[in-house]
Amino acid sequence: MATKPAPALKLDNVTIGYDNGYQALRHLSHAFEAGSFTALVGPSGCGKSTLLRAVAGLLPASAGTIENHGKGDIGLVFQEPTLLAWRSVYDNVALPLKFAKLSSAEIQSRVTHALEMVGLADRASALPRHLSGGMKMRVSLARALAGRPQTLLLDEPFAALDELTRFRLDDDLRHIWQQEKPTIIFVTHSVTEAAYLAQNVLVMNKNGDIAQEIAMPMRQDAQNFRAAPAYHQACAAISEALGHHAAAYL
Amino acid sequence: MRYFLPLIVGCALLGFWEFYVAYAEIPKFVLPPPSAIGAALVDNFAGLIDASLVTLRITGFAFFWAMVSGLGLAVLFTRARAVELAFYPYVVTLQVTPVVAIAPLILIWVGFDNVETAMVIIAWIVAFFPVLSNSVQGLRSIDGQLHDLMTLSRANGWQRLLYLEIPAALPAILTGAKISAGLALIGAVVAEFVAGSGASTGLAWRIIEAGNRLEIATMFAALFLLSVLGIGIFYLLSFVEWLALRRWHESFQD
Ligand SMILES: Nc1ncnc2c1ncn2[C@@H]1O[C@H](COP(=O)(O)OP(=O)(O)OP(=O)(O)O)[C@@H](O)[C@H]1O
Ligand SMILES: [Mg+2]
Repeated sequence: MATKPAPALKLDNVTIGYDNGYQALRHLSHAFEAGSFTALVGPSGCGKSTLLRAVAGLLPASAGTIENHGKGDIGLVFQEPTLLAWRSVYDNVALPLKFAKLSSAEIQSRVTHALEMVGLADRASALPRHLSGGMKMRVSLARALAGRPQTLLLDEPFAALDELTRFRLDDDLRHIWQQEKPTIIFVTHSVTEAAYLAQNVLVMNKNGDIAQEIAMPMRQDAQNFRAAPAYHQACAAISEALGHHAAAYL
Repeated sequence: MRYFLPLIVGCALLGFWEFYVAYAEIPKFVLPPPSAIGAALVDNFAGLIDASLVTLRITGFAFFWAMVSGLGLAVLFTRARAVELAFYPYVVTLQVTPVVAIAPLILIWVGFDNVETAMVIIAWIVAFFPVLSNSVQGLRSIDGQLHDLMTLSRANGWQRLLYLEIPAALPAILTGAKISAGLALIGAVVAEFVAGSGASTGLAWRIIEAGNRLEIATMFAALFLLSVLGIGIFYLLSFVEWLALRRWHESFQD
């Protein structure tokens, strides 16, 4: 029997309370394996963004422990595009690399590559205010990718995009994951996107806890996965866990 | 039209003024006609320019220190709540105390040998609060996620200040600067009034002196230069604002 990979990220009985006393996460425990791709779904306000922010170390746990064994940086794509309005697209993506004291040649190649990946290479010198909402989101994504983080946290990164761009970026993201094997936690409201991308889908409930963990089927045929029955069954299972009718996907 | 219309109004007013003073035979030590003011300006030109430079220097130093201290304190206030709690009441006290009332004290403390330093301090007291309060406001309204981004990118304190806080708060800081520069000029004038003749050699002193000698036309000429200074300072800072913000800020949407 193969030994289980060590968890890169371990949440043990974590409770997160905000300043106003509201408890967004309650006694949540989960281990994320190193190099795994996990999707996080759940009703609006259930604490998905809170979970990502806690894992990123931006929110202290009021109880329980969060262990991150991944070496290197954490990349986080916020739910809203979070750009510096006075810096160009290029300079926004480059800033964390600059803080990390990378050489300028290295910075240039990484930024250019990341912008190509999100399809914004031709807008490198534009200011954020001249971009659409979806383009700004893609810049945020490029910035996180350029850091080549060991842990990549994405908060509904593609929610503002048209379906075709989204499919393409889904594929790009899976490609990056397969190549560099970061531990990914991907928040989405889309059942199909969760089923398409992840190895594991965590369904959260309104009380800020994980209600169910659904393992996605192994992909036999990566090309036509969206047409495979296994994919539709996975969608149905996620949908049912969310409390919807599963029939729509079967 | 933008320059033409105000110009017509100005000429009409001056013409009416000139005419009315002659028509009603108002003595020139009560209200001199514009032509006499112009003549006084030309006659005393060198002296008045020297005086303007003195006032401008006091204003400039006061404004500079207002910016440095206001911005510095604002950064301290927003970084450490304890600092704000400790100092805020005193800052407010300084702000609400009429500066004319404490100006003589400052003159005594700093000494009449250093009158110009004392005047700079007086003008600084008048000028510094708008920079502080606008900067604090600007720093406070920075999006928390941008701060989170800096934390995640492992920015140190200086990098956070330079790459996020100063640029993000710049619109508010410059608004404070514009108010503060105008107040620094007012503060300089007040300081000169308090310091009195002999001690100061600026425009305000020229106004007092000319008043004492009943040279009302010279008084008006000095007053005119004071307005020019004020307007110049305002437009200079508006220009700086335009330079700094036009590329990215909403208020300069093209
Ligand atoms: N700064 C805050 N202070 C107090 N309560 C907060 C704060 N941020 C979020 N909350 C509360 O925590 C809960 C979880 O918020 P969170 O943003 O994590 O939800 P979410 O699952 O990401 O929702 P969505 O899908 O709409 O993005 C919500 O009920 C929200 O009201
Ligand atoms: Mg959210």
